[in-house]
Amino acid sequence: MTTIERKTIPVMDGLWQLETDGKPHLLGSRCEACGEVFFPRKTLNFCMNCHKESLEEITFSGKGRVLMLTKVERQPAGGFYKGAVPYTYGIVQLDEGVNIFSQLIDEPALSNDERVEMVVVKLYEEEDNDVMTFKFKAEIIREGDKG
Amino acid sequence: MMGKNTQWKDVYVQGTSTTKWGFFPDVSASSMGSEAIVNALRDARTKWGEVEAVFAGSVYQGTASGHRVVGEIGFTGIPIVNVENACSSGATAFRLAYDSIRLGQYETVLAIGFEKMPRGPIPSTAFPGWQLAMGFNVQPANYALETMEYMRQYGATVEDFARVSVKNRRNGSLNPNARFQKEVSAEEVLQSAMIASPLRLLNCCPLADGAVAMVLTSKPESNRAIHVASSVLVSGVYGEESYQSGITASVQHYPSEGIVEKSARQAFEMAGYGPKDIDVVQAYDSMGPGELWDIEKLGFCARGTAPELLREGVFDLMGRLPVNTDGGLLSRGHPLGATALAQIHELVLQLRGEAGHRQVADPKLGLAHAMGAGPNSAVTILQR
Repeated sequence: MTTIERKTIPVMDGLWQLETDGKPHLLGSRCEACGEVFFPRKTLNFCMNCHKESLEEITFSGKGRVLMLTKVERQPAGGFYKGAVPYTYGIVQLDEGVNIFSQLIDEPALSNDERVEMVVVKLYEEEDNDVMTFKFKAEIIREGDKG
Repeated sequence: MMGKNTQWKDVYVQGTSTTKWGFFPDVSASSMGSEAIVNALRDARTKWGEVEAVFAGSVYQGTASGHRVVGEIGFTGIPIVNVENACSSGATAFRLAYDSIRLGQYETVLAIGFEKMPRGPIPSTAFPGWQLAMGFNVQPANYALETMEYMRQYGATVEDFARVSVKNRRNGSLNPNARFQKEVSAEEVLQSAMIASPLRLLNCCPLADGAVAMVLTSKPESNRAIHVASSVLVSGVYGEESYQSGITASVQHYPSEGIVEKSARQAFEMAGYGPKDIDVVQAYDSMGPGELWDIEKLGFCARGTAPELLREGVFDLMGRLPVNTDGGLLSRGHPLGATALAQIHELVLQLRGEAGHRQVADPKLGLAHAMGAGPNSAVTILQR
């Protein structure tokens, strides 16, 4: 009997990491000169807004609000996407002041301006790996939604 | 510097030609391209030996694809420049051709856009790999987000977006080269399959194969030559969202002028005309709602007012400002590298009075606008 141990791997290294609170946090960059915030973390130390070499690494709280969202009903063209279809997709404004694209967990249903928080969940399986991604879900479990 | 320079030559479109748009599995991209070139030369009454350079726009045709097109006509030792700039490739080839004449490098050159859309996996290098893996590169989905924002800010409705498809498909029914030459009703649009809410199938342009070629010259030889009043390309301003390219807006440093507004302003300054002078427009309608905010951003009306003007018939063929007279991308289909030149082709026909049943009344100035992933925004103004 052989048991193949499944591994979890991120869809890309460096998008998030486990912090001391035991939770995954998105990683980014912040410009000390102009205050601009970037996600994902920029490997090149060059601020795209003020053009100074003054970026520092930051971790995000993982909380924000939904700016807008849509539900994708068709398999994306190109064969690069291996996750579930349909999926909810939108833009989240993180509290630190940056807008990011993300998939959203739309159960319970989300609406514009709703507070959300980041979670790491499985995007798809490949061979022995579970490929993980960040997504956002409603920050507070509302009454009647559980179970 | 965008102002006039007295040393610059005036540039004219002397001849133009388009293939039909659609799926032609048995016809190669280079055959379509060479067919368009030969017909453009015939239309211009220009000999192949007079052409001094070729600027060839395409997206999916691979290495030195313009050379293959020209090779089918016959090499003459002239430079061939291959141009890939996503959905603005054709307009970028046009811009380079225009500049090469304007700046006195050549007298007569060719701009071409050609595309045969690949089947199966389509690599999108406009998005990083992890965004592709996460499903962020779905054009209707990204346009859907922009559409939601437009609805929220200005109260536009799905009925407004359906009217864009109805108008453009009506115009397309008068265009013998369009992929779709059949009208649709608002009900059909509103009941077509949901792609990414609120966008349905008939809000989205179809793909197509096709090619357009144009002869540009500083020595016009007939009154059919159309003056190029300006040709402008702007590739990105920091901080603005570009849903086509997976770029979100900056929260803190949003630019005072967006990419479309900037390209339009530069094109009007260069031409010495303003939005009120324009008689016919080819706007970018890869997704129907985009036509509405495009018209607004180009300066033809205030933000949020295009849906009302559309309802009033202002953008119809017989309206005050006809938009997408050939049916737009929604009817013509979208061969990526050729699309922007197809828009310019339609302007040339309109300004010559050769647009047949879709001819608008006596136009003197026309404007074409193409967007593209990257992002790119290309504006061309033509003058009879």
